[in-house]
Amino acid sequence: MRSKLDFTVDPKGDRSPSEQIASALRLAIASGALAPGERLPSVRQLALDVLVNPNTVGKVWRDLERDGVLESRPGDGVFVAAGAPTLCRAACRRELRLRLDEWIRDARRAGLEPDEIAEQFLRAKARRSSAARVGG
Amino acid sequence: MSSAASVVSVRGLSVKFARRTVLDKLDFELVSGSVTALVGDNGVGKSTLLRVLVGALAPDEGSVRVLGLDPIRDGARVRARVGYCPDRFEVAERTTARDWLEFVARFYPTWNLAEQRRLCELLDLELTPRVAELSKGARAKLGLVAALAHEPEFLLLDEPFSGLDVAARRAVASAVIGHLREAGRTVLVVSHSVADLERVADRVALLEAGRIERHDELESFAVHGRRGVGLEAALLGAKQESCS
Repeated sequence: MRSKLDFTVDPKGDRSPSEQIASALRLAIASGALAPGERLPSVRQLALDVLVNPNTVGKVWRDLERDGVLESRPGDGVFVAAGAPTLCRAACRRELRLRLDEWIRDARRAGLEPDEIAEQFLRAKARRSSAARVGG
Repeated sequence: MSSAASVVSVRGLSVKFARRTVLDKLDFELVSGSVTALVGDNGVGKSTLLRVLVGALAPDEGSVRVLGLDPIRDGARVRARVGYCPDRFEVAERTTARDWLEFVARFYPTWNLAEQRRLCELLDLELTPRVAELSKGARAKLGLVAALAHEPEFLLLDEPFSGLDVAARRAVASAVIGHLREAGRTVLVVSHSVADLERVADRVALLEAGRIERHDELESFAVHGRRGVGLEAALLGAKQESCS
């Protein structure tokens, strides 16, 4: 369980600890590392693992439950909901799009032309795929 | 909010030093189960408020209740259920850290030796050296063990991260978060280390000009920040508003 939710929270990061936890959990579900029906670690356990206030983790759990990503079974724990992978894949795509928009904005500010931006993107993609081949 | 869940209830608290009013008709409530970051500029009276709450300083005016008790009149009963780690504390320099903890333990009927051992291991704190030989960080950790080993319902920490390296700050955060394993335990922490506060706290109280200017969930402070997120941005934003 712990290895499936293997992430750290960086309090100096751009996003709040609760956003970082929610985003890591959505990514774990979108990638299939956490499947529907799987039980999540307890709020207190995860709070200790990632060193974040338990109330903050509890709030993330409640928000994700409201969004239909998690479902709590009283007395049993909190589980990944049946429809979660679809929801999380959509949320991850949205988040990636926003990050890309932000990156493009920064690139424009730095003076890169649209063609150069596209070239950067293709180069990065080529680097990743060759790294994946070398890494196996 | 029922008064039973109220860990701290302060009404009209004033504290004056010579002719300077440090706390001025301050109202403050803390509910059970939260970790509240008490923030504000240097010298604004954060440590003074903590000292009033543990009964180390008598208020000039106002009513103070901690766990439903008066920290001055019921001092011993309050301190038995409260853990306090001041930013500076006097320890007999020639005693060993272990002897000093044994001395502190005598004042607490609920002192848990197993918890003391667990905390020392977690914080990587050796108890054999004399207090005089301890580094600044080790001394701070010793203060934290002394404040936590009797498993208090209400924990007050004054600058627990100050002067510590990254590993020690993580260990302190881990000790505080681990302390919350029992529901209903409440923490009030004074610190300037915003990143550490964003980890351990879920509420923020801003002390300004002798009063609690704002007291809210950590997340709502973040939303009000100028950059959209981050307690630091929110606090800087609040400062600029009050200056202009």
